[in-house]
Amino acid sequence: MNRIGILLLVFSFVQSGLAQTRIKGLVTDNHAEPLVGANVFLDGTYDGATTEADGTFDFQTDETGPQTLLVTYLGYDSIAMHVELTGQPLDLRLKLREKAAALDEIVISAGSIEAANDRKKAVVLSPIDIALTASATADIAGAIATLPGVTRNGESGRILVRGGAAYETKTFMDGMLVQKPYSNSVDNLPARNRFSPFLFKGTQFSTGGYSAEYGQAMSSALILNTEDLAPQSTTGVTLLSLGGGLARTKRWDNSSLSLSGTYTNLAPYFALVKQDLDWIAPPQSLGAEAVFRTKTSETGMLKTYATGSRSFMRLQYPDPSNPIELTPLKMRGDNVYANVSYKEDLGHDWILFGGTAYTYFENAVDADFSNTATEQSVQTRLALSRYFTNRVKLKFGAEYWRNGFNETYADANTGTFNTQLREDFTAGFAEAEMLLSARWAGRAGIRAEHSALIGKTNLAPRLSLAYLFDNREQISFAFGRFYQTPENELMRRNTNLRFESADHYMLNYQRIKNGLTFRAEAYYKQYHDLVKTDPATFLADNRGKGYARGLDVFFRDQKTFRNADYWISYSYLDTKRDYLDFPVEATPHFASKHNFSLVYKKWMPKLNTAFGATYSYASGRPYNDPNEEVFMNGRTADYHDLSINGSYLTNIAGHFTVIYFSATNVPGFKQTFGYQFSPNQNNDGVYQSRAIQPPARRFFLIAVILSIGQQYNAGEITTDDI
Amino acid sequence: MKRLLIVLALILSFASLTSAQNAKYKQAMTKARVQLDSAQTAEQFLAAANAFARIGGAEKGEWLPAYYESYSQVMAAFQLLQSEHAKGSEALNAAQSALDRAASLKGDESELGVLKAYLIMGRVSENPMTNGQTMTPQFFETLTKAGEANPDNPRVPLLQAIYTMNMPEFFGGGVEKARPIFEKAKTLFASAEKPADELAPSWGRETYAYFAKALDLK
Repeated sequence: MNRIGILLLVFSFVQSGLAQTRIKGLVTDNHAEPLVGANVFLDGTYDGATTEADGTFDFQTDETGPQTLLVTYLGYDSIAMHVELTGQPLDLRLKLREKAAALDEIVISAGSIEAANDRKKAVVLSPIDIALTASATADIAGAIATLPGVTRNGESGRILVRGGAAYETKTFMDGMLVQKPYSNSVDNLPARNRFSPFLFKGTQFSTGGYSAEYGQAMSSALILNTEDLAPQSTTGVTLLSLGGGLARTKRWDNSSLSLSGTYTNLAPYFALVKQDLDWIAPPQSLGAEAVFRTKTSETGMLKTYATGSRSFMRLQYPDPSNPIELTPLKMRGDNVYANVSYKEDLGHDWILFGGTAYTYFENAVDADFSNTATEQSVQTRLALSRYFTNRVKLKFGAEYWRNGFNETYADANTGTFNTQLREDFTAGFAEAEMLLSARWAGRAGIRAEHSALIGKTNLAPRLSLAYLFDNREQISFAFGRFYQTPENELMRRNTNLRFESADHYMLNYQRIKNGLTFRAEAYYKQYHDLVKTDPATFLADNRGKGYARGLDVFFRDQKTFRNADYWISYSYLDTKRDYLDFPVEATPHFASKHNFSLVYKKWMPKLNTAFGATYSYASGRPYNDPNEEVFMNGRTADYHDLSINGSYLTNIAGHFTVIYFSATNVPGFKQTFGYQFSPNQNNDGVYQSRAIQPPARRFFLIAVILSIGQQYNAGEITTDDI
Repeated sequence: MKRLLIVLALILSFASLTSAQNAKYKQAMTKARVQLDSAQTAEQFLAAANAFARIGGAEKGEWLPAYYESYSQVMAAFQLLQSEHAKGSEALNAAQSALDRAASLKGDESELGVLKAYLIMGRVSENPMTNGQTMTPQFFETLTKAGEANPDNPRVPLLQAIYTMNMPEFFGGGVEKARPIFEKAKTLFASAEKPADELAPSWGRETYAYFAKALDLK
């Protein structure tokens, strides 16, 4: 045989193969449960099998020598195993471990309820959930009020978290503090959040223990992240029972621009629905908004947002100095807010965030006194983050803001007072997020702030730690210290104050699985250095203190009923504080012991209608009755509310249209938020009182929202049965 | 002369090696295609996906194994999303990574577009409330591009028709809107020539037949 023959022989051996090896075995999970459908195969070859219903597999291979056996399965970490193929059958027992989450898939749940469109993360709510909550009337703050940890509060409309006053909750938009997140209003008339819930792709509502990125909020942070490019060009026309609006959105390849204007006037509505308040000129407001977003590169995004509004109202008002008799009051409010933010991937795992925000706010009240407050602020912020492998992320940054506050108060008896405050505020933070092991995740951060106005510096540590059963179930703990500069209104007479502060401790359990969400959180919050005011001199100091402790429970079910979704929130709160003019430590008027909400939503495809209902309960709140010996001894009646809403989707003249209605307090429960007392005794030695109640039992809203030239644009397209 | 013979022999045996490899590939693909075509349950679709994944692992230059792996995962996902939602999401993730691989191997633009649209449909089905709004325009945009790449691809109007049919009427959906699009799919399926490559995507006839019967299309 010549050499050619030998060569051919060798090749034919290679092609036909020598001996076959049989590989069989069993694939299970960690708990020895068989896994059906796992792929078991020799890497780089055709040989392998899928596991059967009992987890077994069995295949033959012609391969010989050292090989790599791969086992893959959906939602589990793959394993690679070295095998030696000799013709001897192999019988293998293989165990797969459920995939551990990557760092960017984990939200440490202690203190944080996240509403996001993010597919990767286990999030509690989506932004559309917030938008469609009955009782909220499409107001972000109204929807947040149905979440655990929040006290119902019909008189101011602001978010009250875990025994904290309204000023302890701050709103952040694309990382920057929103100085004035609520519409202009006067005491005891509810305000609304300025922003439409549809501006945001993600909302993180934090009831404590939040990241070192955010400061100046002792109780809570509402973190709003705006949408990216608008999906398409549209023209929108909105007709409200209270006014109307026009909006035009233009989408280009890499940019989008939206311009809109709104006008509301409650006069026609108040003519129809009787109000307890005596309006001379019902609230009117005129607003404009511009949003420009552009992709500056494959990974860069520049967002510009600007809004301006002016509002007026005139009414006969129960003035605090004489709540029994009504005095005419006139209010005018102006507001401008602009926010520019920039995000870019710098490469090498570095991401840059930058932004600047501007606020102008003016509120002018004329009654038997006049009070004009103007506030202007400019804020700049720069932050960098970097991933070190996918287990460690470091973020650090700095911010600076300049704030001017100018207030003039005048009345016939006391004369004219002017307060001017100027703040130069600087802050820096650094924070590391870490996956410590497959089961442990942590976050450690520190924040330093300096306020030139009070001449003080603080250093706030933040820490949280989570044990992950998997990426949908965890136990977590958080600790943090939170500082806040005293409110401008408390610094009219002296600025010789320190930061107010609160320490948070919380323990949380959360599970989000198969359409069911359950979370429970116990917390303790200790307040230090709260501002107290001397009743005689009105001078402020930091002698105040307080605490809050309680339990928040949340359950959501998106699975049991077809096309329906409901959630239940319950909060238990025990809180006392000694602050402002309190003579002793007491439960403040804005805290109720028990809060309960049931939010229900149903989509009825046949009727093209989404329907929602919310029931809320809050136990009675304390109020101080000067006729009684004991401070804060009064209790209002329990609060009940049942609100409904509906959205009917249709086409009007070929344009996609939503007809929306909402009604609050349908059964007409009597809701009392507290009482105002006359500062002086009457002839019988009694301090007379007036109940603080909504100006009407119910509030109705009807809206027709027309999208011209829009074919497909709605949150609820059901593609079941595809 | 001897040297020339050796070289010839070498070339010949390599040629036979590669053609054997090619035959093995064709055979394995054909077998996996049969497995896919007969699949009914999610488990059967996942088993088909496994088979294509194995072939893809051995033939790193071919786009079709990755394409079919992705398609099988999408088919499995639609069923899993109804029964085991989390696993359905995992199947969509797996489908996405297989599709990315197929795209990087420069597969047929039109067919990859159709599959991408199918995957978007899966995402909408995964979370209709949030994804419906943002992804519906993407879905139609992707299919429009796939139709431009190959106007004769019958799977383009097929997916358009199914999605349109399932969309509520006020968004421009419904059976009546879908009917002419199904008609277009029918025409394209009828005139579709047998592909030169018998392994090339050709699915959709049965799906079309099912809807044609359900909708009583002539």
